[in-house]
Amino acid sequence: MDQAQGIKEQLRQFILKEFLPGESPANLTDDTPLRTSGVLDSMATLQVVTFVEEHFGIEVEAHEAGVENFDSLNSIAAFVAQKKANK
Amino acid sequence: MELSTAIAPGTVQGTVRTSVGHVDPRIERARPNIYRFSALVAQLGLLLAVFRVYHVEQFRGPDDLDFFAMCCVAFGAFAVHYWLPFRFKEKFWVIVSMASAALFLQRRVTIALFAAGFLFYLIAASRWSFRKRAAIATTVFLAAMFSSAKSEWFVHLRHGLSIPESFWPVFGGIFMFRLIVYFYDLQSAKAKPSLVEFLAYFFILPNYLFLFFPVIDFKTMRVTYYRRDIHESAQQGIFWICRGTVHLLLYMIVFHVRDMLTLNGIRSFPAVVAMMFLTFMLYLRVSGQFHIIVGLLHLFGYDLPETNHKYLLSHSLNDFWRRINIYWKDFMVKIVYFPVYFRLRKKNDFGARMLATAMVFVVTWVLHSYQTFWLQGRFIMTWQDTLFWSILGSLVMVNVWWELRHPKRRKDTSWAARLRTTASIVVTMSLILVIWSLWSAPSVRAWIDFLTWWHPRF
Repeated sequence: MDQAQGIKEQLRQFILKEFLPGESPANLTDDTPLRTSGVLDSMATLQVVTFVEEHFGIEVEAHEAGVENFDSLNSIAAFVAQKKANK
Repeated sequence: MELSTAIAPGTVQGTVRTSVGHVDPRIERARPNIYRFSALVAQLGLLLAVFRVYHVEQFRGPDDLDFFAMCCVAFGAFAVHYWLPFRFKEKFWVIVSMASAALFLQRRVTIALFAAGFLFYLIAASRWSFRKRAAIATTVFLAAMFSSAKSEWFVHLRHGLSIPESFWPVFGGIFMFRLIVYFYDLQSAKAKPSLVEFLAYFFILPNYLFLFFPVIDFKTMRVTYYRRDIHESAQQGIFWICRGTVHLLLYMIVFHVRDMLTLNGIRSFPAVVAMMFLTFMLYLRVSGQFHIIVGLLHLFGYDLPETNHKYLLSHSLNDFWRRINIYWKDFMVKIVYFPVYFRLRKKNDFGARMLATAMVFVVTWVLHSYQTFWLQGRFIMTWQDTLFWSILGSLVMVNVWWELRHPKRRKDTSWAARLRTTASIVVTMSLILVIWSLWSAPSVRAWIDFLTWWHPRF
């Protein structure tokens, strides 16, 4: 499992547990829209931000917490990988 | 929100598999299909018939065909846009939108609007530092704001510049909020947006008719452009246009029933409750228009999120805030909540959340007056307005505090849980009806008189 896939799996488990209890993991694909479909509201996004910061050792800024970086597992994983690479 | 209701089947991004790494997947998502196109066009034709037969949005009389004409233009443009190669699609939509300004607005208003738009674009696209560009754009915008004032000197100035009075509400309707979003996103943009992206964001066809417009997010608009297959996106848009039409038809009924109730007088508790409900339901016009606006944009590949989500089923005030006018909530989260919270969270996470929530409601209160200034030409700061936003903000803060202390862990589908949810909906909506009636009242005194219907008044 590569780094991006590992990030996505951890995020998938976290989102399923916290925001989609009882949902089948198969329904949460790498491209499922999270912010723009209402799965994650602003509070939930903050929880994901905290999770990402604690688990992957990065720091997220206010303007980075928008749809561009937090709308799908793919976009979050890409954002985390980019932040880690820039550290 | 559950995945099954949040995301319709097939809405998933990137479903296209391509062996060529560099091919834009949106080209595949825009691939035409004559049968599916015919089905979409047939539905749009039926919608036009409904608009005409039921006089949808014809409030100025039977000759008021602006809405119908706008839909004819948009649906006709869809029929052409659909068959164009992907690289021409957005340019075509921009041309249609801008040409429509000449159709629905006075010529001088259109020219002044385009001049303002190009001036803002030149500022945004210049090589100056971001701070300088933002400062110049703010200065230009404030100058426009002051020059729209009613004082004699400015009236003479506007007359001298040949700027018609009808220009200002349209200018405000287009730029008052989206310019803030645009510059906020520009600050962190990896590349400067192109002219087409700028024009597609600001000069949106329905905006010339609907000045009270959803605050569309620039990044969301770009991220969701051809995010999924055009047939699914367009079908979603048609569904929202249908829903918006139902809202507008219900609005007409609500409007007339409310009028009749007002004429008969409010002389009983059920009449008070009915009046409160009908007053709140006037919001159907806003939600109806917003559904139609975003539905129309879906036809052109902008797979934007929902603007209002079943707000009558809100089970808490926080939930209500999340469901009604979602674009406004997202706008506030972006420009107020996140900046305040991220700045303060390391010192005190709970305090940062509370302060950020409070700031959202203060800014919302101020910006509502700012919006009234642009759309109606005067700043309005009433006690009802202040009380409404203070009460709603305080209750939402209590709700945030409660949700932080009692996080929802498991989906409970028992009958007891369903009953609890039903009771929560009834309590929440009752509370909303009361404070909404205060907000809509001509004065606090009039609202108290309305609530104390048993007292004789002269």
